[in-house]
Amino acid sequence: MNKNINNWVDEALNSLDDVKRATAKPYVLTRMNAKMQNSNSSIWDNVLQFISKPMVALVCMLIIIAFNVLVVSRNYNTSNTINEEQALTIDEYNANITALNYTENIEP
Amino acid sequence: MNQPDLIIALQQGDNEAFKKLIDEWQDMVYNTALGIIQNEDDADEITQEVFIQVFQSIRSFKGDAKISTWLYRITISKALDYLKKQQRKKRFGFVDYFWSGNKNDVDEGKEFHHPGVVMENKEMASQLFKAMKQLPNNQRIAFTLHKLEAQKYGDIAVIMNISLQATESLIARAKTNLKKIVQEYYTKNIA
Repeated sequence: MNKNINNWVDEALNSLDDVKRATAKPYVLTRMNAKMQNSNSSIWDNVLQFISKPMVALVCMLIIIAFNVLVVSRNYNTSNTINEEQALTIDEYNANITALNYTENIEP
Repeated sequence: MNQPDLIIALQQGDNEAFKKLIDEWQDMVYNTALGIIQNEDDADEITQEVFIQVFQSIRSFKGDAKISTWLYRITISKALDYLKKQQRKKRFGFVDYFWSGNKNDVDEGKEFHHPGVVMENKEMASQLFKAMKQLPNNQRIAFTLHKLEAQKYGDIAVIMNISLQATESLIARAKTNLKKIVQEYYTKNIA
């Protein structure tokens, strides 16, 4: 059996001894010219291809999400500050709505 | 037309010279690419890319090497790029599938039959090609040039830009490794 295996191994290793060169498919020049023309005329295709790459899309998505988070958190801080300022002003001038209603109600 | 004249004609943008270059060397480029990557469609694609690169960079070719050597080097470099891409595809195939929905088309188990192998050796050669896929790239290239392109050790050394001794050693190691792989295959599947 071992002898058989060794024979097969030798045959396999020598199987490329009489190999002929494979021939290329026809019209290489024509197909090559077409390929070159396509690659010249499709700059926008390349741009779109680049944008649609998963990694690029993912990075863009993360940037947009981060920008949104930033804007929302800024607005939240600003609105908190405004509310505090409003509350202070109302307290200072005693101008809350209940007080105005009360004043209106006591008039005849 | 001898080589220096052909190079001058190519550098002057002579279309006839370019056609002649393709006619003369397309099979050599195709056969080398086919031996390394073992896929006919991709070898055809690489053949086109090789000649596109030749067309774009012929002005920088100084003529200190033979055209065939230059073509072999470009072909090998393109074929290695292709193999790297295949490995990347294999590694990140699931990510690609997740993003684009494209199924990974890297098919390692597919049998390859070289069209130049004689009928009675087809099966054996197919096993050998399968084993060649497991060789390190430099051994695979040296062995392909030696067996499929019938290049002498000295020419392989020039193409791969290594010493003659290194070439001999590469091919010897390739043969030893192939023997081991094929032997393992037969022991496992037939014995």
